[in-house]
Amino acid sequence: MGVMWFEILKKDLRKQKSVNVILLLFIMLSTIFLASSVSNICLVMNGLETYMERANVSDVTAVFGGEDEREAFERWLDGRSEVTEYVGEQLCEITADDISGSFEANGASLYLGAVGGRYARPLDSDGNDLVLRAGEVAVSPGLMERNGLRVGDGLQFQVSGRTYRYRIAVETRDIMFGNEMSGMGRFLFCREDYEEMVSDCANTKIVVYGFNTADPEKTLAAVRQQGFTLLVNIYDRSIYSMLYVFDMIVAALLIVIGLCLILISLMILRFSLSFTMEENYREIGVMKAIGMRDRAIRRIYLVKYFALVAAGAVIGFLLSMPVGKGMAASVSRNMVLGDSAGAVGINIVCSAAVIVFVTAMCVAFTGRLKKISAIEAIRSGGSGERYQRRRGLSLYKRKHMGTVSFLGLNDILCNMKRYLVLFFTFCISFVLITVPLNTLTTMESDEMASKFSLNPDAAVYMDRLEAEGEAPYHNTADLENALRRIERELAGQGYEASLSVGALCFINYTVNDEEKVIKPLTNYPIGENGGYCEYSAGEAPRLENEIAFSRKIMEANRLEIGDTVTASVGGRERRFIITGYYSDYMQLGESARLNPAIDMSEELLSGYWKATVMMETALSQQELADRMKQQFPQYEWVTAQDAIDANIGTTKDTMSAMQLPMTVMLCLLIMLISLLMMKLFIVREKGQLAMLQSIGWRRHDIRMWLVMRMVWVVLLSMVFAVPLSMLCDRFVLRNIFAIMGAELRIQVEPLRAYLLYPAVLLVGIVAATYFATGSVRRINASDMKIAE
Amino acid sequence: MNALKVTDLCKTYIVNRRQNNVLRNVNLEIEEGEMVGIMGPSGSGKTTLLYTVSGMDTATAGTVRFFGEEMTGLSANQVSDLRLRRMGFVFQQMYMLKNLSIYDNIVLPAYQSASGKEQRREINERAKVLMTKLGISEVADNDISEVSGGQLQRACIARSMINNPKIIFADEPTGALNKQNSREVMKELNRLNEEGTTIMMVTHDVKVASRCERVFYIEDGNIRDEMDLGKYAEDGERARERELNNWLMRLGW
Repeated sequence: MGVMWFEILKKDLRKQKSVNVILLLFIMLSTIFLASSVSNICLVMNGLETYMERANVSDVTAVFGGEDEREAFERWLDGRSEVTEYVGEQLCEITADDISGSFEANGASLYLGAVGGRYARPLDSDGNDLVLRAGEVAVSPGLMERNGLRVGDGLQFQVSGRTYRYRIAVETRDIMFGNEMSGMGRFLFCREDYEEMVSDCANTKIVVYGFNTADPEKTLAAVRQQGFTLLVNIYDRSIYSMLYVFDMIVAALLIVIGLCLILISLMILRFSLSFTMEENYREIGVMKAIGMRDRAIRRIYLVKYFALVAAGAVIGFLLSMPVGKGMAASVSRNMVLGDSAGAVGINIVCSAAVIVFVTAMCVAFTGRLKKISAIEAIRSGGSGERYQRRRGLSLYKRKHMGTVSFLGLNDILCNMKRYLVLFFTFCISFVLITVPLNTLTTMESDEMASKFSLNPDAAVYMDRLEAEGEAPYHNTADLENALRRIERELAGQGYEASLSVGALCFINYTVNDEEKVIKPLTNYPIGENGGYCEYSAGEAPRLENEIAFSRKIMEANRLEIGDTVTASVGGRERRFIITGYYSDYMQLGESARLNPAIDMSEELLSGYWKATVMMETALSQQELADRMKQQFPQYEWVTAQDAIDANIGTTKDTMSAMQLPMTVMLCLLIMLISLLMMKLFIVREKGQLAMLQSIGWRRHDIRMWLVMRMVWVVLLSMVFAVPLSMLCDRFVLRNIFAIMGAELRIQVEPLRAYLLYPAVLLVGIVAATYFATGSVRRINASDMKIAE
Repeated sequence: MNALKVTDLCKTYIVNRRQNNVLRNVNLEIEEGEMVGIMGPSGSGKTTLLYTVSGMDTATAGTVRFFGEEMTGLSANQVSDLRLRRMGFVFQQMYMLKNLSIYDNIVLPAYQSASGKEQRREINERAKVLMTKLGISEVADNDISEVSGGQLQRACIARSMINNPKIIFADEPTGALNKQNSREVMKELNRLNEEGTTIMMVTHDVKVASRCERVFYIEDGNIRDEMDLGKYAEDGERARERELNNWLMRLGW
């Protein structure tokens, strides 16, 4: 009995050498991905808490666009019993043009600040408080990387007509301004240097208030109900989880790939096990006939696969540690991570989970042995009484189909179960390739631009309208004058352009008959295209008493088109009728749009959105922006894509960078699986292949038959993969984009997504299969004796 | 004309570093339209001889001429084409593609060599005639697991005949069949031979071999003797069997 046990094991190891190696590889890879990614996500989540503790993030943060309301706000805070302490910190606004070496800020607002604040303190890479000496500046990693700066490099700032030179001393970990998702960046100096620079500076000085409160929610709501016109933003600690969630995207993607690899491993395992059992039917039958118990027979197979899975998981565990460290290192550029000692424990748990899960599945797969009677096994699976009718096609009825092509399709239809692994793998790989591709296509689409209130028909956009030396505009008159001035300047150079802009301010609206006050970002259009927006229902406000709200606000406050809201605009209380609603990303989907007829000259603006430049041109936005930068360097010219990129942080860059390696990796993976499966098929069908040779089939035709089989599997899997990918777009991707505040239609480039990429997959699979069928050359007609 | 002329044919296998000379300078000639049997004890080289002369295996030395054409110098593709268009094969195990019906298995070699709808129509006509002659028309659409061994072997014969081969090589064609089915299969082979097809058949069965015109006795890789029984006739069956038996006993069978 022992000899037979050993013989089966030996035969299995010899016959399925490549399957065993691939299985080992898959288990190893999935363990690496799962263990390192799970520990990375835990590290980031725990690290964020540690980071917030060390940086001393306050319960609530309020950002004021100027210092005029400082006294009033502090008085209000003093009167709030739940507010325990507060500190306001001044920051001075500068532009990228004020910094030496064509500084690239990726659309972020830039500020100068001093170290030593109480809340949201900037730290060094070790998590210690930042200490700077005179002449030193600290910069966040994102800005350093984007501008190719290193510690020790010099930076010059132009403030109030004077030039200040500093040396970069530290790459800072700045929880509030260091993440590109925040759309802000700051340069930090010692208190004395900062005071010296900004003392005579006319630039806007914003104030960031941090305060601790016993009831953050109540305080947030109370602040919003006040009429602080300079209040630009207010949020609690939860905003940081959102800012840093994108640092987990790569890890999350790797977890998905790891889970897919485990699923594929399981299917290979099932295929390999059933193949082995079929091969060993006779031996199993003999063992059963001589009285060996089912459990003992199952152990033969389980021991081998357990050893294989355990070896793969242990190697995976060992490799997951350096991989996890590498992933943590990339995240730690943005934040201060806590103690990573627990990561090893997580890696061990993940690796053990892989072993337990895969082995449990092995036990389930070998359950089939119980059902095989001794006589069935001896008859190699046939009881001699039961026949199952095949589900194939008829060759003679397929008049226009070649024999090779027919046999390929017929094989799949007759043995659907056998091709499930491939079918599943191709489907998943296709979805894993197309979903990021569609994400990128959407991020670069007109649909995305329109969600950021950018008119896709614009020739180009302007990010800054102020002339050289001018302070940022905070009223509509300045903006209107600027638009006319720039139009004249453009006309002087031969550009007949029409400019418009959306002025932004925060207005208190009383909704539901004075029961609730909301303070959304309000867009007031100046110029013909200043109010560009695609309305979901109703229409744009036109008359003096009309307004529109975003869908999120309408739903949250149970508002309908035709309802009224009241607000104090231009110094008097007004009633507005809601004419429509829309869905966009402005202020995370919570904004209002005023009519262009109302007089807003008395209102203090918090800023303005990208100015739209309409003109006749044959140039693309990028070409025109580049040309304008040269001809009118005093202004900032951007494309719709620049504006989108500035708002979605580095996510697009990360996905863009991952797209090609991930496609290549998936392509290699499916090529490997195709190769392995084809080798298994050839071993299994050696007799049939030999028979075809005996009746005169050329080896080349036999190889073509096997390749055609794979081509059919790819084509059939695409029939399912394309709708599956569309479902993922609809139910997964759309919801992810909705986090930013609005639903949008996922954009797909059909030729690229549904033709080019499947074609690339097909070519890879055909190449791998053709390579695998090389072993047909070693099969002779006389090998029929090994027929199936 | 010689359908097959084998001269000094040798086949050597190397097993566990030991040379095993399975065929040693075999010489034989088979005339067109003849039906010859190859007999001999187990391991004497009968099947190897059949596989080597039909191009399914390569010869170590010697020559094989197929209707005057030298086969040993042909490329693998040329040999495949010969097997597809001019040779037919019937084996002891009824090897067929299990994903195809009986009919599709029969027409498969012909479809593979055909081009165009017209040719396929002709093949279908030929297949129907063949199946009717072999008595398997009613199982045309059946799966290979749904018919008896005899029907399956007759389907194999039909497949071997579909391209109108010049010669049929049969390796123990009745080895896996019962008495009744064996008789039916041999009747078909005799009928094909009467219609002009050359048949070379390896068998252990004296009853089967007695239906051949000539029988070669092979021992230790060499043709030791041959016996001429003359054209088969049903009424002289018993006498042929007796004669063959006596001859075999003389050879130590």
